[in-house]
Amino acid sequence: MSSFWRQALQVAKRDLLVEGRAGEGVGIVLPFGALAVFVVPLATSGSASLLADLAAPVYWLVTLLFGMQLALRQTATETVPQRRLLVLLGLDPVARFVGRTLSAWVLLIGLQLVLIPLVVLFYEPEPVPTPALMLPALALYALGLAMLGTLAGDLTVGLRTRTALAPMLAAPLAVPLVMGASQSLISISRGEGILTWTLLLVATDLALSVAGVVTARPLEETAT
Amino acid sequence: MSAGWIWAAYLVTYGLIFGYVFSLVRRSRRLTRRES
Amino acid sequence: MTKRILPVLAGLALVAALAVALSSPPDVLQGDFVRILYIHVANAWLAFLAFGVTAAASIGWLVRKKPGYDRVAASSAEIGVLFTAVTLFTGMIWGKPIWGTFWDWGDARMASTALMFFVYLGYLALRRATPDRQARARRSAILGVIAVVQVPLVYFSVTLWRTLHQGLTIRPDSVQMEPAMLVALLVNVGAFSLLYLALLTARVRLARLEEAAEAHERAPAGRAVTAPRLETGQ
Repeated sequence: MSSFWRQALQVAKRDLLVEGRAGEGVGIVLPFGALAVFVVPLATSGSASLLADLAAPVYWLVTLLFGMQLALRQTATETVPQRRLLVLLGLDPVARFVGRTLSAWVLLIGLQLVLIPLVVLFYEPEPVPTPALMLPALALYALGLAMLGTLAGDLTVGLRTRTALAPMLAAPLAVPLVMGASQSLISISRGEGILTWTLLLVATDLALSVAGVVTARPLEETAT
Repeated sequence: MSAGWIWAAYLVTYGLIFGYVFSLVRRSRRLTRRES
Repeated sequence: MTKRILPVLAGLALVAALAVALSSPPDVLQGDFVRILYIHVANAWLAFLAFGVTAAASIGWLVRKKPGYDRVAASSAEIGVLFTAVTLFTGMIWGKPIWGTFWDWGDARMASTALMFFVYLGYLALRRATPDRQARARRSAILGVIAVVQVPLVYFSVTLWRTLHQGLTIRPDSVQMEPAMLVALLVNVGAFSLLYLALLTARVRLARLEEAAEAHERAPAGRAVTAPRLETGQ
């Protein structure tokens, strides 16, 4: 395995280990996301057909906003001395971006999977004919959000208003991702093809990875 | 009937533009005044 | 003296644009409301141009690291917010009498423009949140690069979405323009372009003043008091 990938996997492993030990992902963001899913129906008339229609939009909104929170978690940020140490140790900034994205991706997929049965339980949406077809869309959606979250996080390192600013920067740029995933679901439930939306997701993920690779080194200078 | 909407459009447009121009003028006056 | 030429020219051009817009023939379908479109379309193009300038200046800064690029990028973004706001408001004011509603989700361009507005606001928010000048220039330049990659995709995805969920029929871009109307549109585009240039030069000048004032506040004893910096650049 090349040293680049070894470094990237080291970063991902470190992220997930630290998250497992001291993290806010499982303990805080996941329950918070579940709470959000639970609270929305309380703000409606409670009509079954309205809730069935709201299921998907609420799911996408919660996975977007709380997914961003996961990608921007504290355990995914290093302090300035830590960053400098990593630079001195020769950590490739692109490998750091890739590793960080990988760990965020794992966590986001976890969030997405956990929320599905909850949404089904509380909203009782119309059953989807072939739900397995959504797996690629969900994976690509999570990957895009992971990259966007990592980029937004790196862009706002050390800023006082980071917790509000970073999701605000990422959200409009996340529209193609939300669009691709949500419209895929709509197409599947209608029995239509998802090629266009899948291509949109792939194109967005590609664009984000290019942005991530190109900006990795300049961002490193920002953090040190 | 249509005149009202057209007025509104031009008012909003030039209102925003003049508002911005005045803010630029105010900010530069404040800065150049400080130096004297 | 030369400082005044551009704003005066822009002002005259805008007066001419107003005259042409009001004297041009009414449209077959929408009558006099087409006069709103002259400003709406002109501002839309300029909003995109301003955004393009911000993106190009951001790349320029990352390559050259000259502060002038950063000033242009930030100034163009601020002016872009202005033009985007005008685009959105005039679009809504046009929409109400034509469609009966201020907002039509079927209009991909308005939706994309609104999203671009949010992206600009984020860019300006990032700048406000970063006190250090060098870091501010770098971070906003990087955001500029990320945005230039993503915004076309945002625009494309909204257009794709709209073709599925058909909206109302008359759209700003579906107007058939006869020559006199085309002239009115072009005069408006020209006038607002001059306005853009006038505002840009004024805003860049202001940015230079702001930087000078900042430097004066921060280092009353000059570089003698601060630690040597690893990076060069004023």
